[in-house]
Amino acid sequence: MKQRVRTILHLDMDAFYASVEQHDDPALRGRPVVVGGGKRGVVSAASYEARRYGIHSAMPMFQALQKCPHLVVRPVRMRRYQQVSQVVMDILRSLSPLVEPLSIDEAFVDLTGTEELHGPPEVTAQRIKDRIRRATGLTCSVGIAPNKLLAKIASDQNKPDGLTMIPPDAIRSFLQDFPVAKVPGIGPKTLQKLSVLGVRTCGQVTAQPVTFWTRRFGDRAGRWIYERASGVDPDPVNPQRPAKSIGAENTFEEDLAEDAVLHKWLLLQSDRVARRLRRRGILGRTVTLKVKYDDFKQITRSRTLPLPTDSTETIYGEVLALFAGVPRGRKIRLTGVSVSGLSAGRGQLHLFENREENRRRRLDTALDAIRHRYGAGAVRRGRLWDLTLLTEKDDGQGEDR
Amino acid sequence: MKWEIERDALLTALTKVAGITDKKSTMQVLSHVLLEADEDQQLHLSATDLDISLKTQVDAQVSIPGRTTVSARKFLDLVKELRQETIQCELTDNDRLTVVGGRTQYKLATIRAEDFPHFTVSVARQSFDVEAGVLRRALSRTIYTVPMDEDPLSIPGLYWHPVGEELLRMVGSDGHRLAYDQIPFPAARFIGDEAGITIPRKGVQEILRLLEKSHEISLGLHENRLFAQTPNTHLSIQLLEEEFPQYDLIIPDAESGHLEMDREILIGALKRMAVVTDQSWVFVRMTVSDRLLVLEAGNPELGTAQEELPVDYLGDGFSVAYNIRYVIEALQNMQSERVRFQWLDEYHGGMFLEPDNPDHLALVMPMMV
Repeated sequence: MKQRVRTILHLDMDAFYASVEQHDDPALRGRPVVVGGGKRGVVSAASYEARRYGIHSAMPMFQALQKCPHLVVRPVRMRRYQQVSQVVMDILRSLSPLVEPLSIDEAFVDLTGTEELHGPPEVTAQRIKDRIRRATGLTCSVGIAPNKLLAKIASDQNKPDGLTMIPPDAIRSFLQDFPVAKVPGIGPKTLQKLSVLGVRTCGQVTAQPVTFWTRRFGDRAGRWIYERASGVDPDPVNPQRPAKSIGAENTFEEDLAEDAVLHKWLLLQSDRVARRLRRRGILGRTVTLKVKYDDFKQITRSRTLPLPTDSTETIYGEVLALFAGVPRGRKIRLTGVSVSGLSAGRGQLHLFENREENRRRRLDTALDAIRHRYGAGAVRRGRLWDLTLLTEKDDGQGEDR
Repeated sequence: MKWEIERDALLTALTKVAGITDKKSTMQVLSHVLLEADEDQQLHLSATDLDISLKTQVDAQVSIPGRTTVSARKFLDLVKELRQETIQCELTDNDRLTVVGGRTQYKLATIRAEDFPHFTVSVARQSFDVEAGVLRRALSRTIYTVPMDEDPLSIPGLYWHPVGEELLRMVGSDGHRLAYDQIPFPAARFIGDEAGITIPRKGVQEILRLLEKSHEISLGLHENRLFAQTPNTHLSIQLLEEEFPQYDLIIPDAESGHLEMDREILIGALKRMAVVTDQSWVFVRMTVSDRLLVLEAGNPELGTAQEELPVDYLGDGFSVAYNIRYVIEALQNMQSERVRFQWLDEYHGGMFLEPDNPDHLALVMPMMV
């Protein structure tokens, strides 16, 4: 079967969080701005002005401040970004039903066959950019190509405010000298192996037959590297791309060593994750704990439950058990809780052992209802009364992946 | 050892034992059937997986008594293929069992009878007779709830629980649903001091196979083994050690409403709803209001289904979701023309009952949807 040529658009908002801040507060325009959690947190987003100082997201805040002492640091306002994101996604959905949001500021749109309706793709793309700018005051970068992989590569070409097209007949020449390091999905380990072979560009990969790669990387991985470097990606735009995990994490104001305090944070994070699960009516089976020490070394530990859950207590119980097995020589600067193995399998109530889980579920449901009516701070678990202020700000990290 | 036997009788006997043999075991002898030919002109066939053992006997013309073992599966397969009325078997000097049917000759490898695990088929001091049809009905109407796989939250066996002196209740549960059926039986004397006994799933299946061909069966209990006996077959089953949960506590003793309706009509409607369910969207929502039961099922990708059924019900409205397969299976394992659906709230199991038969109950836990 011959596959028809698809037209896929990838849209990436430019320095999203920082741009929203600059838009909402005109005094910040033209100044280096980062968004992030407190003095000890990390940079969640950096404006283009800040990037000129070598500041990038995921950089520890103290380092960013060293590079640029007059840097403006703004707290993360997740709710506001979600609001703006909604406006952007609605604009995309008005053009095609096939919109796959990748994250809060990124999405794929399948424009195949919309030429009749909206005109050529580059005209549609320009129209999208104009509408987003009018509605939100923000710029974005857009890539158009025959598949998701190339569309994403294209949108990254002329940032900010870019519009790049890779038509089918230009793929070969475009990829010839394109660095494999910039191909999404090719990780550091693969890159290292490739560099040992002296391979730096996609053209060098495709210069060898696919068997050359399957012999060295195994059947699956070899084929995959070859396909990626050839710009092949059959993955369809999936409008209902389910989240793979739901998580919450915090970088603490000060590195922590005390169990009592750490346990409270873990309960807080477990509760945040469980609430999100319940809000979406889904369940998770695998609980993962992430711990980052004061030397930035990070470990994760997971455990899979016999039955999927959305209960705060159950998740917290597993997290505590995992935490008990974590090495404790150093102070801890970050903890995170996430749940994966998500299913819409809904809560089948259990006859025997899960009577406890059923009780917890009723407590969760009651707490959720009160929070829904009176706000997130209206009730909290007794153990968390002194973490009151902390529950209010959702640092927005560990969003659904 | 040398004997001659009717092919059909041998086939029946081998079919009985082949199900018991353990194909996955690392002990090869467990995949073998023990053959014992004696002076009383009987061929005894035995098989065991160490938990369940079965011994059956069949008439044969024995010229030289003796014992040996051969692969049960292969012996069964070759007897199936042979078309002669009689089959001759002889253990030869080189430890092969020669099997001759007409002009076909097999020489099967054997393992010495001495290497076959020793098992006793009946040592129960007291045995109790029960009508095959009665026991079969109770077992076959409850085995569907016994989980197939090991799972930490349920017991892979059927619990036999005495209710008073003269009733034996068979209870199965996979943790999400439960069913019981009870039969008249001197249960208290049979079980003795124990609260109850748990028969593993495979054991229940073997009892059911045994019941297919006989009218009466007698049951005995000795040291954690259940013995079931028909005129020519002995079955011995190792009971499960795990304690069966206190199931009676989770059967609601109160109700906030119930309705009765034609069982087949409800099954038909549920099957129509099941078309739009799948593994992640398994539930059916049942909403009861005055004179109406509404069934709804659906799947965001596939679409939804809804059906309204008139019912004789007047009272408070109620809505609950269940795994649709659980409800269908509960209903299919009933025999009455009508079914009574009884509920308390969305946290307690919904009960599906035969209106005039207090001996059967099916309980299905709701889903939070």
